[in-house]
Amino acid sequence: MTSNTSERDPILVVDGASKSFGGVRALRSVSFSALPGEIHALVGENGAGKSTLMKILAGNITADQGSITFEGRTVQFSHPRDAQAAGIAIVHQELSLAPNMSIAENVFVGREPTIRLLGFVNRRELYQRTTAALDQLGLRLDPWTKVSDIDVAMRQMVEIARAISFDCRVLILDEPTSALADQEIEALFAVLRRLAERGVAIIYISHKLNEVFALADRVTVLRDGQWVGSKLVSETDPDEVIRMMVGRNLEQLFPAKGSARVPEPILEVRGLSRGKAFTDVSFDLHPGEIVGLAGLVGAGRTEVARAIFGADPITGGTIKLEGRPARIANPQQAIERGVLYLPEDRKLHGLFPDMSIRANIVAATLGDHSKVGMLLPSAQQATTDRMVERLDIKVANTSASVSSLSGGNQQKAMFGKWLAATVKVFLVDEPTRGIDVSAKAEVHALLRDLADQGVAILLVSSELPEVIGASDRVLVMHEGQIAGEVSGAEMTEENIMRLATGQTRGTHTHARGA
Amino acid sequence: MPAEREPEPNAAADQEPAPSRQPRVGAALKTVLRQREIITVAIIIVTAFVFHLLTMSSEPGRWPSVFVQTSNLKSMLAPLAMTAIVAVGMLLVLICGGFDLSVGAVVALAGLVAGLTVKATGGNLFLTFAAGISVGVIVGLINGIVVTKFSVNPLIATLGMMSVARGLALAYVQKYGVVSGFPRNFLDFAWETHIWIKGGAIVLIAIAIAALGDVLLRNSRWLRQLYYIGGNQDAARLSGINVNLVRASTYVVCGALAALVGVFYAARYSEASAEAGVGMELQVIAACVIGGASLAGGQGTALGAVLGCTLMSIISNGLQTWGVKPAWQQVALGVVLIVAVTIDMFIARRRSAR
Amino acid sequence: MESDMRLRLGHVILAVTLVALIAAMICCAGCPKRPETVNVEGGGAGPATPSGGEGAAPSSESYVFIGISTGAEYWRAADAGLMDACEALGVTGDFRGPTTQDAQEQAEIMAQVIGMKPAGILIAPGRPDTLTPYINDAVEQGVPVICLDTDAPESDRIAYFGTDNYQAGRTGASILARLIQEVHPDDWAAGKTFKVAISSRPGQWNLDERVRGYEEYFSEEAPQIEVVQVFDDETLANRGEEKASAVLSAHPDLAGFAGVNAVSGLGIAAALKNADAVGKVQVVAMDGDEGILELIDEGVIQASVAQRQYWMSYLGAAYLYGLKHGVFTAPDGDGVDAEGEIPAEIDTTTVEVNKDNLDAFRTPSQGAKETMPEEFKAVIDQAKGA
Repeated sequence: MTSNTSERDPILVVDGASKSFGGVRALRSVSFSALPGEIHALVGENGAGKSTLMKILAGNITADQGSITFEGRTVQFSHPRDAQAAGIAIVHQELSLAPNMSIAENVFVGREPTIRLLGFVNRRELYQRTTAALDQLGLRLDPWTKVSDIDVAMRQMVEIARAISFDCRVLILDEPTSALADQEIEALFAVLRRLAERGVAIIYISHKLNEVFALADRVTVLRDGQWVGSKLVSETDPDEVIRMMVGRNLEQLFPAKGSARVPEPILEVRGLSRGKAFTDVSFDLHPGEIVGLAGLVGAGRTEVARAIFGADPITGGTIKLEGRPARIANPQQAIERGVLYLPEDRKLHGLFPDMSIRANIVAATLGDHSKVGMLLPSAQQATTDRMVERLDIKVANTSASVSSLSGGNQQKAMFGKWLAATVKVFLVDEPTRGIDVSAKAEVHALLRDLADQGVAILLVSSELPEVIGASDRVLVMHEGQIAGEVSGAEMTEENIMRLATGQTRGTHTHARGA
Repeated sequence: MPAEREPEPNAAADQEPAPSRQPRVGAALKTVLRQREIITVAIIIVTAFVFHLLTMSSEPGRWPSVFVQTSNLKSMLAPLAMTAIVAVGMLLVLICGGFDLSVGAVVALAGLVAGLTVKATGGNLFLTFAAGISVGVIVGLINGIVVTKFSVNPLIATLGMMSVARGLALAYVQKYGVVSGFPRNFLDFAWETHIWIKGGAIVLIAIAIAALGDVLLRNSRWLRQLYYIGGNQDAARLSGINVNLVRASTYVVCGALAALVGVFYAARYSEASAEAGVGMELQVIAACVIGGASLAGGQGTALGAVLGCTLMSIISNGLQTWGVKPAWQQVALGVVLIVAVTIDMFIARRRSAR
Repeated sequence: MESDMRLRLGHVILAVTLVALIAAMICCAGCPKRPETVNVEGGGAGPATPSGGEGAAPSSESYVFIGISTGAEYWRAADAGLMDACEALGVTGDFRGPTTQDAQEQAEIMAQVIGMKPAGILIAPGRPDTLTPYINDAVEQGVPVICLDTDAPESDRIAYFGTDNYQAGRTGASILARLIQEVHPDDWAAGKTFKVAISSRPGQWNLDERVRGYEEYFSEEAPQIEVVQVFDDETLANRGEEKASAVLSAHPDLAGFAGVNAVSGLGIAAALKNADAVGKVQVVAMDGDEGILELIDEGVIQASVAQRQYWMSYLGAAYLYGLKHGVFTAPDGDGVDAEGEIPAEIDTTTVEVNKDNLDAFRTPSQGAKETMPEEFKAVIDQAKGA
């Protein structure tokens, strides 16, 4: 924690900022300030206005009303370049890297060091400066690696490296850890603290209160586009913050564990392999239970889920569905049999960005909404309305593009797509990534609800609290294999981490292809 | 027990109260105006008006302008119909994010096959059309398989087929010459008057195909899948859409429609040659884009494609009736295309930003 | 990792194979040619070789004709003339050209053909400027060149046999004037003006010459006829139709259409059919493609100006053969055709095709063969040294 922040003048002051999109008031006269050298967390539910506020500060959009004062001068940013030039850097929630370019080229895009007189890119200097930025984050990456060759977590770190390389005075991070594992998060925190010590003001937007309380000096809460309160972290606690965010007490994050588990398994996976991605994976799923699938990034969890779903081919092993052998060669067959998969990256694999919310919700069930090959608008609307209500998706008009929804609502829309179908086995991959606390609770309640109705759920997640809180038992993967299973009292973060990092081999009834 | 879908709620509860007469008309009007095609319609009307003014004549007893005469407008219809049919086929391919550069070659090859068939069968129209259209279907199948199963870039794959088809046509013509001397009934079929237009059969067919295409694109399950695939191919696959099958089918339909036009082309011009349809593919793609299709896929309507063809036809005819020299016509056509697409992009972007 | 090593091995094998293939090709290129033999096969009416020059280098005496494009019906008669001459002379004939009227592509093909060192080249240059340097290159390398159908007057070609395009235009104009006069005798006598339009591809030299012929004939011999439009049909029937229709709309009292390339007539015919103006507007087309003949038969087109491509290539092959075998000498440019000297220019003239003589033109070379003047036929005998 940094000290004596109260003696300094704020480096950034937002006064009475308001912004509307169409008829939606995203910000209502919000005031906010950041002191140099402090880590200031900004929290709030989806739609609270955090992203909007940050986009105004970063120059992506302009406020309808209100003023921004930076280092004592009133400023007006009409383009991200202006904000960057002023010394404000932002790491967005949505990654904006060019996948076919290298890390170095992405980090220094638009401002590559050049050889004087010739104007050519000075590749040596580019390499050095990129390495320097990556080292700060503790990353051992070759700056010439193509971004498309590294995974989502690494890409997020590259984004952060880019922001850091700007030598800024204000650094804004919007949900920076959604794809990161614990070690990477620690490395990031260390960097941020160092930057704060150098006098950089850090604005940290996050849903994860544990991070807020571990890292920040101050926390500001927004709700429904309005400022609710700002407190020193040392003078408050998570419950109070949640109360401020939600306006009410949240009983529990996770619903009670289920007791609906049926003895006969509905899904039996034996010796499943897919090249190098995973080998000899065996487990059962029973209707009525939620089974967590934990492991480090790259352990093969998503690959297993996708393979069961038929999205990727398998090179070995068998699957039995409802007691009978099943060959699922493609997603279409999986869906017909009631096996559904919620992808971890909704933007890349889950949503259709130019299509309406309604079109997105019926995407997997077009057949159910047609008669004689023609789609029925009324049936589609009915399903859409049902999903909107059931999942509490905040939307004014279901004909609007799905990109107009906030991240959390987009995630809900993706859920809606799957809930419109008949589900027997639901494979969910990072279902609460990038959504706020109360929405997370809703998702967990939904999953438990589905389980109680007889669905078998495989929950892939990198958030250990979530895995432990939501699952009945947890399978842990390590480097492509099932390292072990924990349940009951053994479901602790340490046990899971030990299995995930390969430090222990646990017991697992289907370890060797029974 | 698998989860059942929830029982249907009272749907009416979610809707707005039944609107009264007045607002419904207003709402309908608003929906119409919000359609992307309105922009193209507006540009068409403006362009037509401009040519109307430019070609005004002062001779008594004649139409006020050369451009706006029934005979002139009617003369544009049949050639426009041919382009429009191909455009609808191309649109399907475009929406899925692909391209089909082989359509012009298919027009020629199908025309040759049809020409030979009609002569060999002494005028059996059914077999003639069947033979001609199968050429398009076969080319389309090959295109579809190469693009989906072998993941070849559509531009390259269809360029290759264009070469093959055009080459086959040339090889035939070099050895045996162009095909002509068709039975009377074949020529009559193409030239008979329908709906007061000589050679109206093709116009009627074009209207039917455009209307059917538009309705199906908006409402049918199979063609709606094109938009999903064009919008996010991965997500479409993960949503259970059989991406390969649907994409391949667009190439088959595109080829079939181009072949259909090829058969009519041979009948209309009394000759089946290897040089028909040269350059048609790019014209048709341009027309689709003017009408609202995106080269990146995921957008476009059949109505828009037809409007795009109409605009290009109007410009070509207008420039000629106005008397612009040939070289300058090309310049003018290019300029107008750029302007039209820019205006369209500008307006469309303004709208989505609101 | 194991798999990485396997990958690398595969790459090595691939690379070695490719290098071996390249080496093999280089070796073959340096191999000595097969010994020269006189190949008696000749062409006849055999299939013309498609463009691109993928055949093996002709090892016998061969004469190559490079057309403007291989796709047009027009060149089949030229091909036939070449093949007939070569058969009579006992040598090989070869017809090549680009698939589309791309002068650049034609130039590339010419370069390839030069490399094969034929006994002589006949060429119809798509654009004289583009092909002139290649023609000169051929002559420099000892391959004589004669231009057919279209000329490259600035080049070192030894002769030009073809339609005098300008004359062809004048002929067409005279036919059109005659037709109009026949249909409107009273108005003609009263000195009324008549409008005509010409369908062409402006920019192509031979077509421009024909248009010039039309225009000058009218202004000199039939000033009552006014050319209101020369429009671009893009050598496509549907585009020609669209343009012709537009012209018809602009000039409803149009008396005649002329088409100066082989496809022009098709578009004009369709436009007239569409507008119910068949017979009201007189049409003179170009060349005798089957489609045009059909339309003449139908009465939509009144006449066509047919060229004698057959004669062009027949004579071209004969003269080149004679040149090679010492019977003829190249023209010396003194304007006088001495004994044994190849004429610098031969106008193969044109003939009017109309409903009366249409049947003779059904086969591409039949009519031409039958009507070839005696002195042309004699050239072959002279060349053989008989």
